[in-house]
Amino acid sequence: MTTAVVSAAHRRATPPARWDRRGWLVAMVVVVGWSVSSAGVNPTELVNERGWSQVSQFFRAMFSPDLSPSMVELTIRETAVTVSFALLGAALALAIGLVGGVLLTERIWSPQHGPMTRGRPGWVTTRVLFALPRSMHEVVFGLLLVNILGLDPLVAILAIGIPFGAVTSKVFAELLDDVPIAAERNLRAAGAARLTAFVFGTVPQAVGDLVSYAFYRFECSLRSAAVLGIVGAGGLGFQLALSFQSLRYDQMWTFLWALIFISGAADRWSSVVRRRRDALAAEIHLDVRRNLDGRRDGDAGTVVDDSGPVGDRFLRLSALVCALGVPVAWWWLEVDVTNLWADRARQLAGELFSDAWPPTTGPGGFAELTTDAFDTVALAVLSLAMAFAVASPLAFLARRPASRRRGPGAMIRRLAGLALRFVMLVSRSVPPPVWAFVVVFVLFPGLWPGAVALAIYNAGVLGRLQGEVLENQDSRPARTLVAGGASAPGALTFATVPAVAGRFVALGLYRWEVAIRETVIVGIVGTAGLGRRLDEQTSAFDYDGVVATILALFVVTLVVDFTSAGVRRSLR
Amino acid sequence: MIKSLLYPTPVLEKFSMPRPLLVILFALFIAACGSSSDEEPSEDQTQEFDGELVIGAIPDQDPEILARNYELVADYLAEEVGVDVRFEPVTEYDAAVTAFRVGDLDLVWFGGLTGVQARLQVDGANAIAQRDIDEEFTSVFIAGTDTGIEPFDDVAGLSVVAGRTLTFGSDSSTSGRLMPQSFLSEAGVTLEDLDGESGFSGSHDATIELVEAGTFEVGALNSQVWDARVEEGTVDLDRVQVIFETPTYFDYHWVARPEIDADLETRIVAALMALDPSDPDEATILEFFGAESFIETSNENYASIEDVGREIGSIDG
Repeated sequence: MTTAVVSAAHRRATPPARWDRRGWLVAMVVVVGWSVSSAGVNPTELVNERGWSQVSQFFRAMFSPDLSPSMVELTIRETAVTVSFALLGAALALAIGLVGGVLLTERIWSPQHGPMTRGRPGWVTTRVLFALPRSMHEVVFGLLLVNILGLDPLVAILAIGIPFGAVTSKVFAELLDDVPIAAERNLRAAGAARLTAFVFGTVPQAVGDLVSYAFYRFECSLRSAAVLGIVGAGGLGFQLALSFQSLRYDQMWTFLWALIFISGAADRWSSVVRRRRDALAAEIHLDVRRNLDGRRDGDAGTVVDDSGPVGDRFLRLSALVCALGVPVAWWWLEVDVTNLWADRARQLAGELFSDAWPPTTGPGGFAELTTDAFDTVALAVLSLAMAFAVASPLAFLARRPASRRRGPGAMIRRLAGLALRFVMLVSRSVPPPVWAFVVVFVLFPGLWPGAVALAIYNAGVLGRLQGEVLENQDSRPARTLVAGGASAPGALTFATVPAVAGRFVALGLYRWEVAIRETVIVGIVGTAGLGRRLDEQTSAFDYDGVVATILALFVVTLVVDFTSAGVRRSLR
Repeated sequence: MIKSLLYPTPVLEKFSMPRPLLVILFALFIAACGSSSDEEPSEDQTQEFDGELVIGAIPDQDPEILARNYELVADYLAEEVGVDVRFEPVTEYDAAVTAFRVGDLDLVWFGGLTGVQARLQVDGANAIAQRDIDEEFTSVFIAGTDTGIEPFDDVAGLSVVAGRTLTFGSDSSTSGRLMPQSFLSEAGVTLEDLDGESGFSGSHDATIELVEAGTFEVGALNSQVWDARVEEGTVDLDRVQVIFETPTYFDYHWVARPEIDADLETRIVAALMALDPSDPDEATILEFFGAESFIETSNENYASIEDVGREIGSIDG
């Protein structure tokens, strides 16, 4: 729905009345202040200094993981499982995104000319339908699917693929709505049916970006597969949870190192693929520019197609690896799709549905649900505010230097950057529930341990995304300032920071939306909010309560999405 | 919008991608579409025992030890009962119940509460055997020595916990949550009387760590796990001590799915009861369970657990 507002505003050229940046800034400060006050601010009641010995015990084990042959073998096997889950999950997300993206565009619901009228109800319904899975964390899907499919690899694949598919659909729809309509019009004029014209005229122009986005989804899937393992889906996360239960830190670190390794590799791969593709696209774009004056010119699409099979070897290889990887992963996990419509699955789905409907709020009633919902918002705000405050400077310090300068100073900078990037990698590779457990040793129970755990995790993710923005930033303004005599910090302050600030904030807001969903996985130790509520309800098998909580999360997510879209609009 | 966040370069054009990839992806999607059916359950509830007995256990202690020992149990049962037996580990109490409910586990070593939850979700499931010690199981309340809480002998003494922070173990645990909470309420302490929300550490071992660290002032756990940790010497008794051991209650037991017919059930119970401490392998199994022997049990023994479960909301409805 948020995009609807955005693109409608674009089209009308007269933006609707909206808050300006200052208004949003004030609102943000107020919200953060409110979150801090609801979490409590008295440090003696927050920090438990006695717990440091346990924390240091955990981190010391980092350097002495259990490397016995049987553990190494197990780790390798389970790593393959986790990667397979992630690959199949991302592939499913991409497939859903291809179809869902088309269904979510304004274009297919609109008449050929003029504004959307008759199609509006259908379009709005589709949007809401896709918003629901987006508001649910993969773990929530996992918990529900286990009740239908039992201990089956499909649980993890669907739990990753469905919510990620809904997100991908939204992104793809936005890409599609941005594609110039000319090619489609030409096909229509030549007599093609409406859907045919759309599928052959418009969709191909956005598929490249979708695939590129799918690589980003793959790296998210890996982290997600690890968390799903913790709730019992198998793979590294599952083993991690097992050694976690008995507090075997040395074994935990064996699995964590494996997670750090694959997560780092996937991040790097995805970055390179996306950067190369963007560079390639920019080249094509220049070509097109040379031939034509405006992008919206009628023949743009054809010219691009005529440029033939452009490509670079790395990209082709990546595509090939994925194409081969999917069936291999399928075989490795012994996926049996027929389990989806087996009698048992149908029967269990029916039972689950009759258990879960209608939703009830439980003994605490609506008031308690509302309190928990507010706690969840406070938790997400706190964690993101902290993550943003840490990640933004880190992203600057950790970025890869653009110049190839030598000398001891440059060397130290490079090493420091490497170390910081590694710290961020660790913080996003270790699943949030593990962070929560570590943090709770030194912070007394309440909102803070959950918030700090999510902050550590999100600082890693955010720092990486912000780092990408920096590395792709046009360096000319800063170089111009330096050439004109400005100092390096001066150039940073007056050229680079202003240029990226808007995008940094936008990324922070995007992670805030994600953080709302993530609050459900740090509900463990004394943290309040909807996550804890969900934990208690699932352990009591109170499915009608679970549904009520999921609906509450849905409402919270919608509110947050709207707010975040509003702020981002004001940043453009 | 997300797009604009992830693609720093404003240009969006075509990407060459091999056709087969697309074809595979579409095939995957179509395959996945079949899942979205919420059809009526089929009337046919009868399921046959498929020849392989899958056993499970709630993950109440070191999973490595669990896995190693349940392999022994599986081998023993296979030999004595004459069917294929396989152990399938799970990570959470709820997961054990759910796997039992959907039929992925046939015979599970449950705690008191999880066993009741499991039976309530599967018509015709039976509690079939327990250990000698399960007839009189206990929990312990532990507290940091610096909290100044002195040990006491009477349930009413638990009123000192009011105004303190407290952590349970897993929220589905009988000895780590259900019974301690029940004894607390007997002493007139509700969860609202605690300082802040009660914690759920996730496991008995984690409860000990958290109380030792001082994050929580008081913790409640399985007395068997506590005793084992003390014996191992992995608890710092200068920092944490037992303040109260609860009265006894019924706890752990084996629950069988209805596909296991009367005959098979009898053979399994007989095999469990025949575990002999003089045979080295069988002695290992008994030692792992911390028991002298297994005895028969029945659903009725767990009626009071069920009542407590309903009272504190761990059993819905």
